[in-house]
Amino acid sequence: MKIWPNLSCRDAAHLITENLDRPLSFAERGALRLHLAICSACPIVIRQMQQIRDGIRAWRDANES
Amino acid sequence: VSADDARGRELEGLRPALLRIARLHLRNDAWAEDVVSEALLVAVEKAADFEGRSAQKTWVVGILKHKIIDSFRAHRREVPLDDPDDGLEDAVFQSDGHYREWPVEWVTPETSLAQRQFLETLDVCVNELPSAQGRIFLMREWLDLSTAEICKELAITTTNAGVLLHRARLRLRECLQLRWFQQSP
Repeated sequence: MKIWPNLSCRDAAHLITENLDRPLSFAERGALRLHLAICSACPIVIRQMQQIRDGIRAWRDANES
Repeated sequence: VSADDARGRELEGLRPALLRIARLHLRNDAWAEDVVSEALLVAVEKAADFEGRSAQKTWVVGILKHKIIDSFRAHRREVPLDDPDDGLEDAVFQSDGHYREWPVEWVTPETSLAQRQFLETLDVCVNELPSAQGRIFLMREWLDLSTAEICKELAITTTNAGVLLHRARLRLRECLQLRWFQQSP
């Protein structure tokens, strides 16, 4: 993935989901932050990915108890 | 009726729920039957120690989760990791990298009925994930394993795991958008 000079939403999606599994590098964080400053789609996707994670937790708890 | 018999029957009553969980993770009926039987055996043996501590089902599910991870380890050569889903990103993104369909904010279900229906939809969507994606996604999100642990258990590379997790999350997003948020009240 090229992170310079700027990310596409497709590239940003990789960083957004990978951030759920590992801390991003300094360069990755910077590139993502730059992209988010000019993109109105990706912040929504970040929230959706968190909603999926929260939903999975609730679904797991419902199945386990 | 002895206390042991009653306890045994109570544990046996959990079998369908345990099988559901095991099938979700392993996506293989024979392996799922095995881990559930093993977990119930351990539970019966240790039932006397357990007596009256936390909720029984939660306790047995805890045993089951360890058995599921053991099963992955034992079967890792047979766990198919090939993923037929390599066109997914092209379906979601235009060639210039923009979303084909602009993302819309999801409204989290508020009422308990809507919440329950949402979880049912989530269940359907996880079940519809291609099996390699589904397995690894649940190892991460349900069993709370780190990517490093998943790679070790399945003997796969970080790159391979990353690709599968990314596709699983993209696909779940598509599925929820289509099946829930498009038509929710």
